[in-house]
Amino acid sequence: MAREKYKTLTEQMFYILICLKKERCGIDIMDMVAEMTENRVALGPGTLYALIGDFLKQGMIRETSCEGRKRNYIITDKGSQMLSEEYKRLKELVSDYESAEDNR
Amino acid sequence: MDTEIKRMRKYKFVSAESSESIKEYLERMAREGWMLENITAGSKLEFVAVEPVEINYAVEMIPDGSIFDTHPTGKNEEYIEFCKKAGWEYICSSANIYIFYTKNPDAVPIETDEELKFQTIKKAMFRNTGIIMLILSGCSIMQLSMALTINLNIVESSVIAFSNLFLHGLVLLMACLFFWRYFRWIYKAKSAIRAGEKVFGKKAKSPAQALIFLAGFATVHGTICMILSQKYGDEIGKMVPVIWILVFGLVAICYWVQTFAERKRIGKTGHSLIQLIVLPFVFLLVLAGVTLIFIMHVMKQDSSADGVLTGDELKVFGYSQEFVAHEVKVDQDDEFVLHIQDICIEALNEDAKALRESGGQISGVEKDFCPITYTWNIMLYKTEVEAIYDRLLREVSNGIRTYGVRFDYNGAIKTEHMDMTTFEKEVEPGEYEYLIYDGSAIVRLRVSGEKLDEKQTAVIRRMMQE
Repeated sequence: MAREKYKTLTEQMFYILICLKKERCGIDIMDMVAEMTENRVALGPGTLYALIGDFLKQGMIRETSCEGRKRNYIITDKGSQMLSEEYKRLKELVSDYESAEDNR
Repeated sequence: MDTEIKRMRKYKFVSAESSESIKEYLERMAREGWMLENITAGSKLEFVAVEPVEINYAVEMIPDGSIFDTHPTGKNEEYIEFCKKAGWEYICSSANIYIFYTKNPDAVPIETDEELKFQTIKKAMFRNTGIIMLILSGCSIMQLSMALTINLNIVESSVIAFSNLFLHGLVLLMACLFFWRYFRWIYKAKSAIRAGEKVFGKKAKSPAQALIFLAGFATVHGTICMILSQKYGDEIGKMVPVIWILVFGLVAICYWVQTFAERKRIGKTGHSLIQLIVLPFVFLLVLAGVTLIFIMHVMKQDSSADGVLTGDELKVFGYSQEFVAHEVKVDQDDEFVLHIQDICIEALNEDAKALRESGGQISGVEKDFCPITYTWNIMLYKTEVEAIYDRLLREVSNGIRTYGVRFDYNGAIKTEHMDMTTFEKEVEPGEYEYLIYDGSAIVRLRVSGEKLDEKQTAVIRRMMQE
């Protein structure tokens, strides 16, 4: 995946990072994303696997433990920072929208 | 009741860029009552008969897989777990391509980010095939440019070297074809992603198509080489069909090795080692062996051929038979250029042999050094190819050779000598060099002491006529 992709996160990336604020295994992420978004955001297992691989490579998450096929991950400082930057960006979008609505 | 399970095999190359078309094909087969059971060597699809069923398949490339994977290992098993959780049942894998199915039509697709999938496959295509194509075409470009410049003489005179140009051309063609398809696919995929359409619907090719293409090329190439070899009497050129048989043997062995590695679940490292190092090494070894057999065969024929200096003829050059224990023959190698072995080297070898055998000293001979080395030598250039002959002739009279050994004949005296044109030049005091040509051959001759006399030119003339 191109590096510039991380300047803005896709919804799927965003939710995976949110899920990993607490140590979790990949399978739990799928359930959690579906639950949080009430099935609005579909996170395919292949996409999840690829994104976990990319996040690991970029140092945005790290593996905490591995029990057989089950691997647990948690967000790193770098990942948290990117997540909060994305949050700020989204907030700006919302406030820009709101001020545009107010000025109408 | 008939309990025998019916099975069927189909052949198709399973690749990431054709994953959509493979998926559709598998779903059609399921509707017809054939369920995929296994894939061997990336192309043999094994089906088992079932009740016709409407199911969804997923043909996915794992991002961190390798084309040398023989089975899912370590981290890849996590991928299977994820898919299982999402309702996708794992069937089998073929290298880095994994096949799943689900009976739930509402199951979340395995890939929900087409852009991400596209990037992964694009990278893998380049890594798996692109780099190999770049290396191969680099080698071919180097070989072709050398063949057209410094190796032109070899290409013009050897059927094998000439025929290699076709092979390098084929490699370049294949590389161009790959990159053209690769970039066209990237372009199409990008616009498909923008339009929200499917990206990986490239039609899967069957191994039969590839084999027919290769066999067609081999037939044309082999036939041309055989005709050329026959025409120019180049015996070694006749080994081209044998090389092609070896190539097809290699393809079969590669297929077998992959099947074996998958069955025995050999690791990625071991499998890639066999495919990339062991097999090419064995192939080159066999090729070298076959080449040696051909060369020995040709040499055997040569020893019975004409072009031998008799004892009397040696005498006219100041040599007697005693210096040359065996007959000096015209060395008819795979080039059209005939090259008479340096008689003095032969003599030297004989002296060295005598020295070894006597275990002591021979007067005037110290160790391997023979005092009479290079008093004269002959090189005879003879060719059936008119173009080469014309060029040699032109270059001889110009005194400039465009490649290889340089003729320096600017200061030479041109004479007509017994129906032959001779360039005569005193290279060092008392040492003469001659370039002689008649209608069929050119002799380059270096003589110490005296100038070439009539008897000597007569011998040369005889050799040239052969």
